[in-house]
Amino acid sequence: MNGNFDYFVISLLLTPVISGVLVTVLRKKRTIEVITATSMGLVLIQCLFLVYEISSKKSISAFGEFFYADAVSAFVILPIAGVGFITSLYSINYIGRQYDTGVLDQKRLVRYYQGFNAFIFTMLLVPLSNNIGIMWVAIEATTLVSVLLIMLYVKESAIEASWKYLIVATVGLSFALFGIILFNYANIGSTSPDDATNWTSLLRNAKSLDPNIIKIAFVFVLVGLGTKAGLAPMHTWLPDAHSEAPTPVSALLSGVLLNCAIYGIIRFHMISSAGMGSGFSGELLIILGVISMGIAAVSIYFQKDMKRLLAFSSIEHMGIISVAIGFGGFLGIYGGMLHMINHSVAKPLMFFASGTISQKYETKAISKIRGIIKTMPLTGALFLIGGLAIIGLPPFGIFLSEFFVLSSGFDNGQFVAILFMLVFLVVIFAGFIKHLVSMIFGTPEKEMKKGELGKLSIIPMIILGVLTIVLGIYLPDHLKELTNDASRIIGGK
Amino acid sequence: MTLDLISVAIGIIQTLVLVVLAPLLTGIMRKTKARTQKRIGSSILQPYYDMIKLMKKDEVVSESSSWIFRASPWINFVSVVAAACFVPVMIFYSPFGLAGDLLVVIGLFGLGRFFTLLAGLDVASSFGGLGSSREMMVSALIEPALFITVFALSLTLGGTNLSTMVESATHSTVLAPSIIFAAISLFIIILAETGRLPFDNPATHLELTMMHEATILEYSGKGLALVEWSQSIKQIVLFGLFVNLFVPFGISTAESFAILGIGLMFFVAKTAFLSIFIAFIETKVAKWRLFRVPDLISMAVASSIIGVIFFYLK
Amino acid sequence: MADNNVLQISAAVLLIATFAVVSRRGFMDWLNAYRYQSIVLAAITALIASITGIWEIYIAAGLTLLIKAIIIPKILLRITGKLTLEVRTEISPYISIRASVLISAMLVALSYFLTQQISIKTDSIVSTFLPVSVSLFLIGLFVMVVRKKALSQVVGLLILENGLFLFATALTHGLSLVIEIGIFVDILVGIIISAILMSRINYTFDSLSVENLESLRDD
Repeated sequence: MNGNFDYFVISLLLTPVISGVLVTVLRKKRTIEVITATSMGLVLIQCLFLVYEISSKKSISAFGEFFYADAVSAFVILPIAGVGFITSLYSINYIGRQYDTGVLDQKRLVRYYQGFNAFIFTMLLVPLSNNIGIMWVAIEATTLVSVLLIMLYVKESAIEASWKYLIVATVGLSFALFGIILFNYANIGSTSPDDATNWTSLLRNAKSLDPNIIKIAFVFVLVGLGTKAGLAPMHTWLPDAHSEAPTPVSALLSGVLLNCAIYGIIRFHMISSAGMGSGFSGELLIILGVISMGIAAVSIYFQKDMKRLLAFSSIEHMGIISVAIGFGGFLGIYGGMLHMINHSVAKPLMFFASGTISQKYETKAISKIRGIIKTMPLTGALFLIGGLAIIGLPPFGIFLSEFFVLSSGFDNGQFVAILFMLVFLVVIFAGFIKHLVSMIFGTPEKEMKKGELGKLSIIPMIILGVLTIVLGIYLPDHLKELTNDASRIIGGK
Repeated sequence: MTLDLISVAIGIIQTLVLVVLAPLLTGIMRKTKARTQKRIGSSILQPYYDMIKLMKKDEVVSESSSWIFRASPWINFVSVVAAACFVPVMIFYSPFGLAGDLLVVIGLFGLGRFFTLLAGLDVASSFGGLGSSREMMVSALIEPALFITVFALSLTLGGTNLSTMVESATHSTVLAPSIIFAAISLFIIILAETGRLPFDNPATHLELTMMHEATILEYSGKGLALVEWSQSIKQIVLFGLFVNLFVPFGISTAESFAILGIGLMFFVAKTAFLSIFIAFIETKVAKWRLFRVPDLISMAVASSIIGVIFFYLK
Repeated sequence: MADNNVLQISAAVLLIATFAVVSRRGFMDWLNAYRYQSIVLAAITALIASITGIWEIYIAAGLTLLIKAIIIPKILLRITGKLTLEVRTEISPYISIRASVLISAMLVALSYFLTQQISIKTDSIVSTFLPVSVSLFLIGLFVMVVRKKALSQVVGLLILENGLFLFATALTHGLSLVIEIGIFVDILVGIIISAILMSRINYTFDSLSVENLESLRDD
């Protein structure tokens, strides 16, 4: 608990801001690409250092208690930095190609990179801020920035998706703010007004907070942040937004932004469980999670659009994480946190591959995409790896984390939830395999030139593909320790 | 508040004031409307001249009409004059208040309106039937609003007896929110009851959309004079109720001539101000389509409901 | 007592301004009503500030006046000034105007009922404004759901947000100033973005009805 981190946090948060300003000023295509990639690299390095510090010091804070990060935050910081960096690399190829083919003009190119930097900045603010009010402001800001990124394309479906996203997410977050005000109110008697919105203070005073108010407040926050995390039945914006966004943005939305929202839910779940046991909030999380999985299962099975398929898969995985947190217990939370990381690795891989595929095939319809492995062997193989990972096949990481989650459910005697989960997982498995096989194998409908779409589209995918496989087989010690810490923190000891 | 001679005398004077001043109010409103529309307009005493002229004229009565048609103006007139008896004007009570309250006033108006409607149907002209059916629709719709408003008012002011209500309105120094909402609601109801815009255009005999004017289209001579007079009495009674309930400022509390005189002046000034205000509104708005009228009434209902809520909040 | 009365009357005026939005069809009317609502809200905030004596709330009141009563209406006007009258009016909402007025009154009743159920400290500011703020929240939500025009959804959102602001100010005397400013910035940016989106919707579909925005779905 020393003040050394003041400058560090400032430099971490300023990196994307400065790069955004530079992008605005310089405007040249090659320059802004390099600037963004460099700044994302810097963010990644700083974040790795930060996470290292967290794992050795358990928690760090800066500016008094204004910023605070512990092992739970690390599980959001890591994906932001990692996926952010890799996405910035992929963007060079993907967005650059769209610029070359005239889909995007110079103005929109600059706007994309501005938005990209701003998006990373707002997302970094979420896990770092200790103040639940600031956290809300940051989450709302991520909505606004990502709406700007989605409406990059001026076409009907993109406008529709961004409008729905803006309205649904903003209304949802208003509910969350309602709950946050109630949390603040509950805490205002026990501490000074300035301290009352601090998450750490809420957790300290959790026992003395009025349980009735906390219950109401948690429901509101869960509805609000659940909307943002894509938990059913508030998920309606998610498939539209994810499928209509530019592919790199889809990867960020799915791999990172959803984690930020889940992170918020976890924080409030912790306060609620510290005050009155994890029963109340845990049950709610399990219910929402299982519903999400159910809706995702049906939609995945009958899906016609490749990117919507991936979007619904994100809903499923958010459901699993939510259920994991709801089950609680060391193992459940351990599995949930690992699942967050695994999903953040596998889902961007899938989105990148699907972006490349749809650029090659010029369609997103599953029925029109055949024989990827023949036209683009590398992308096809990576797409297959990602797909197998995402449905939870061994030896990939998601299998491991899902296994942990299910076994903790058995430990807690949540047999009904487990039963439903297993049924949904089987349906998703069948549906996903069906689509995956039909897209990857078979013969292309029309004659297509064989070939990949450039190095910079492949390298990010290879990095992610390797990570997917490695995380399934071997967990680095630091990560293992972090997961242990996070699991202990959320479990309340 | 015993029924002594002086208070009875005051009561009779109050009723007479209402009955006599009623056409003047109509005149003021017409004049205001004319001036706001950049016309010079007729004198504010014109309604009196009209009535005197009509009194002298012969009556033409449709052959197909029955006694209802002939009796209806009288019933109407008697019922509104009876209603006028219960309304405090320059002093905060009416001695006849012992015999009736706000609900009786509403009932008497209902009686008068009922016969007007019957008369409109009685002559079997197409206009009369149309007017009656429209007026029935509006009055049926206004009913719930009226009752919730009365409910809100009587809760806040302690009863439905008009004397008690005006008295407690006089004595309360603060303005309760429930009163504000009740006032909004009652204002809309008064617009509907007296057939002003945007519900009905009182200045027309030509439009197919007219309501009140259509029901009395067949009247002439004395009958018409009576109908017009009772309509204006109804108007002044409602205006008087409104100003004395919501703006009781200046009403006299003692039974001395000087104070009564001041009270009377205040009453006239306040009602005149209200009528000028309504005339301004009439210049600004157009008549609404009949099927949009419920929109306005639903606002009255909503407002009165909120008034009741605010009462229970305290 | 007199103090309490001032509070109650200001709450009543706020509700009246809200109903002006519910009962109107034209966008200009909403915008004016919203502006009045924000001015009343700023006045109430200043009132709360003077009662509690917390200077931060004065700043919040000033910001409310500046952003919600001046800047946001200006932005929306700029965007909508170019639209035709037909695009700007709510012609056939899902629920008719008269029914929505009645339902909104019911929502006010509901929020009074709800807030009485929660055991919250009973000082006069809270007991007066809490139910009003919840009803603003509910009415805003209701307006968003039943209207078809994108513009009305934005207006509903703004009402809802005003409700939240009042809720925070009444209950906790405002979140700390940093957060308030953050929220104001978020609203402002959100409105700008929605304004841009609306002009695009209008440009693309030649209408502002959200019924056009129903092509993305899973059949």
